[in-house]
Amino acid sequence: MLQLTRVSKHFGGLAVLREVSFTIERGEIVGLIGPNGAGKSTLFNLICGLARPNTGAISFAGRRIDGLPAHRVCALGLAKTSQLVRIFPGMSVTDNALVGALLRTRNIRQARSIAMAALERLGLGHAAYLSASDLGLVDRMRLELARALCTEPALLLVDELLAGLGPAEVNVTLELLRRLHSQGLTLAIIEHNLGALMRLCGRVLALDAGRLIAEGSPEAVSRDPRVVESYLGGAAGDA
Amino acid sequence: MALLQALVNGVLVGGVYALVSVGLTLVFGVMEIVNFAQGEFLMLGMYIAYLGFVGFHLDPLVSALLAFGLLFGLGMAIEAGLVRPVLKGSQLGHIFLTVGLSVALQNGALALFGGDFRAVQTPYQVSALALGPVRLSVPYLLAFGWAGAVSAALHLFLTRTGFGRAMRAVAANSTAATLCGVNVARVRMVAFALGCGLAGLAGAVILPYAYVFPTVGFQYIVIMFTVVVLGGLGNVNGAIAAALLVGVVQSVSTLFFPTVLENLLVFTLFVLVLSIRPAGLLGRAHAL
Amino acid sequence: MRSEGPGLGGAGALAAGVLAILGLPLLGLSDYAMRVATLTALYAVAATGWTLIGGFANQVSLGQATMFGIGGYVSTLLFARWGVTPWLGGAAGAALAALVAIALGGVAFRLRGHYFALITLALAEMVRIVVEYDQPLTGGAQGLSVPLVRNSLVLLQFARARDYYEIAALLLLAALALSRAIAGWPLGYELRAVYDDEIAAALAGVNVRRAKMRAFVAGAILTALAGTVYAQFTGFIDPDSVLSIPLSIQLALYAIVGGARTWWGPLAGAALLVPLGELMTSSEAGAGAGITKVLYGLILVAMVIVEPDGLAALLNRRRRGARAQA
Ligand SMILES: Nc1ncnc2c1ncn2[C@@H]1O[C@H](COP(=O)(O)OP(=O)(O)OP(=O)(O)O)[C@@H](O)[C@H]1O
Ligand SMILES: [Mg+2]
Repeated sequence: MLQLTRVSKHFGGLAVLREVSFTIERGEIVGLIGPNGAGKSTLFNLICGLARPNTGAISFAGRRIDGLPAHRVCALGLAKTSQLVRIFPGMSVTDNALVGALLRTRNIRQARSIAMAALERLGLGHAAYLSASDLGLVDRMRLELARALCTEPALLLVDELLAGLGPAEVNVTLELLRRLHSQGLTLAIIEHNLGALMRLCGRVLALDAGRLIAEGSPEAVSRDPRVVESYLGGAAGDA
Repeated sequence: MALLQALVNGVLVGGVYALVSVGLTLVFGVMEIVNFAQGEFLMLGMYIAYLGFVGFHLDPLVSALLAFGLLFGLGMAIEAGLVRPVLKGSQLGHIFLTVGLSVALQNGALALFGGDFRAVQTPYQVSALALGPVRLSVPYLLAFGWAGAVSAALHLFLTRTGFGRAMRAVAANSTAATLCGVNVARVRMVAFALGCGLAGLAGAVILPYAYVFPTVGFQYIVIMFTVVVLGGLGNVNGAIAAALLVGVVQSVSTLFFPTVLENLLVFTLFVLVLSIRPAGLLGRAHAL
Repeated sequence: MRSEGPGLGGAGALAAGVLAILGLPLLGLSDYAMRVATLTALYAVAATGWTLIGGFANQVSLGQATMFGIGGYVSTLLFARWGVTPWLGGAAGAALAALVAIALGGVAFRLRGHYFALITLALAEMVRIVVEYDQPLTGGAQGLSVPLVRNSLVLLQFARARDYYEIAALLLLAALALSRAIAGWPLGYELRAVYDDEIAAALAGVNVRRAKMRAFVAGAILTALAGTVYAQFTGFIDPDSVLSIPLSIQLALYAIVGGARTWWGPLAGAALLVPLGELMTSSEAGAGAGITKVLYGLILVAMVIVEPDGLAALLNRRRRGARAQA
């Protein structure tokens, strides 16, 4: 359902992505790994329309989406959550999610019930009437996820959802993602936590210095010498 | 011939625009604040030079240093007392803090000095050098000389001194600069003060050929914005080049249009550039 | 429907407010007081126009006076040259203001940050330069008088200030109703999202440019209508009174002091500051002209430092106890 063909991106003289090509099929859970600065977040930003590639093509559900603004991409059913959580701190928790639902209905009452349902689903029902700025980091991440779900995506890009979670919370979140997947959502997930990816993903892509260096089952990719090399070379083995 | 003369005049005026605009763009680069009171600091510089002339027979070109010093100090105080508290807030605060200052200063000057147009009489006021067929007006030339000297000094400061480099680092990326141990708060204060000081100095050096009145800053402010946007918000070298360009456009346009319309052309340029190349004619991408 | 910020109590309070606004002339105030009340209402309408984009979406316009001036000049020119009734002229002015807003927004809303403020400022100066230059048509810097016809509802002219007041009050109620409704519409939610984080809004599917454009155009129309009534009311307009940057700042000031994120803030700010301004200019009498404006400037500075969300936020805070605002 998502296809990238030789996508490149540079900022000034800095080449951040070089000729990246891959596809994601409906129903998959795909992991994306790579050391810090590999270009993972940039790749997601290109896909969801926050930036446009310098060359290459991106198609989603059979149509070109590179160059479309983010809200159009979102309307086509492709949503993203951000690495640095982005919520609306001045609005209530419910209203945060409600904004996402407005993409599907212009009726506030309907939008609110969609929002409430999403919040319940993510275990935020009790916080519905708080101000979003009163939430802790974990709940903020959940809220951003709830907002994304309210736009009723077919494909959801998740940029580092597990960072900063304790082991118990990681399990809960993984369970949640699995449930969303079983309800028909296709997922692409950036994650440094390889253990978690192994449990979740059918397929993993590895990015290093803007290049796709490996692709395959989680076990195969994590044993791939180039992947091991890129992590060891980059972060002295803290992966 | 008239065209050549207009070109030369444009460059001379542009030099002064550069002086004021550099301060504006520096402040934007470092603090992401557009100082809407910049024109009023120029006005204050003019009044300081005017008072120096009337009270102590100081040539405006000499009191320029005084104007620079006084406004630098005022700028530090304003940054610490007023700007800093709103920096973290919303854009509305960023804009209306300096807009409010501008209103207060403008009308404060009106209450203090009245609305009269005032000027000083210098010995060189009407003299001009003939350079072939072109006449170089001496007061314009002197102002241009001052502007050139100060721009050169500023350039040295920004590229050769540790503090100047720190300032450019903050302009490029304040988080990274903080991590590298730069005292960002201090850099901001000096940048803002420098912006005010430069505007004050510019005000003093144009006094030999320009009238001073409470709203004089307004005549310059939209031109300054044009310059800064043309050069790319935050880009110092871009602002200098754009200032010369704007000076020339303005001056040449008076050959073809009534003088009252000279700014219309400048503003049209401004809107055109924003619609076509928002990062500025010479700028790096700072938009979007 | 829930409106944002502290609502002024329930339906009862709202009805009382409407009656108070419409019934003000029953107090038997002097003609002078009614003139001040009319001005207050008109500036409140214009400031509400500013608030839709400046306050709701945090897109600061420094050229709102342009819309006010377009309203005033279009209706007055149509009336003076071709005898078109200001009712139609006002509609024409509002339409032109909307077109200008669309053109301007088309350029400015592709950019984020301070560009909108800069471009509205530049446009305001361009319009002013053109109006001052084209003297045969617009009267130039000398201004333009509205032909005097006296007491004709059809031509929107009255002998008594209180009749103008009723027109201004109706316009005010319409503006407040629109502003309050927008806060509860999908557009209101979108604008609040844009206010907080434009990128997050786009990620949530909000068409950021369209939301800004709608708010800007609606605001332009309100401000232009206020300009038309202002011209009829004062009988004379010139670039200083309806097209100047100080007027743009003044309109924003009313909204900011009252609370730029609420539908009633612009009215609260105008109700406080317009009479104050009138009082001071009349007592100033020559000596120290400009003191009022100095005060305006200082209030603006103090307000954005102490409470950028205006009186509304102060009230809000008091009402909800000492809970810290984000
Ligand atoms: N807007 C930008 N302008 C300039 N450089 C950028 C920009 N965005 C990202 N970069 C650079 O691109 C490179 C890739 O960044 P990106 O955020 O995509 O990495 P990442 O793989 O997500 O890393 P991390 O694991 O730390 O999140 C980095 O070197 C970064 O500095
Ligand atoms: Mg990343």
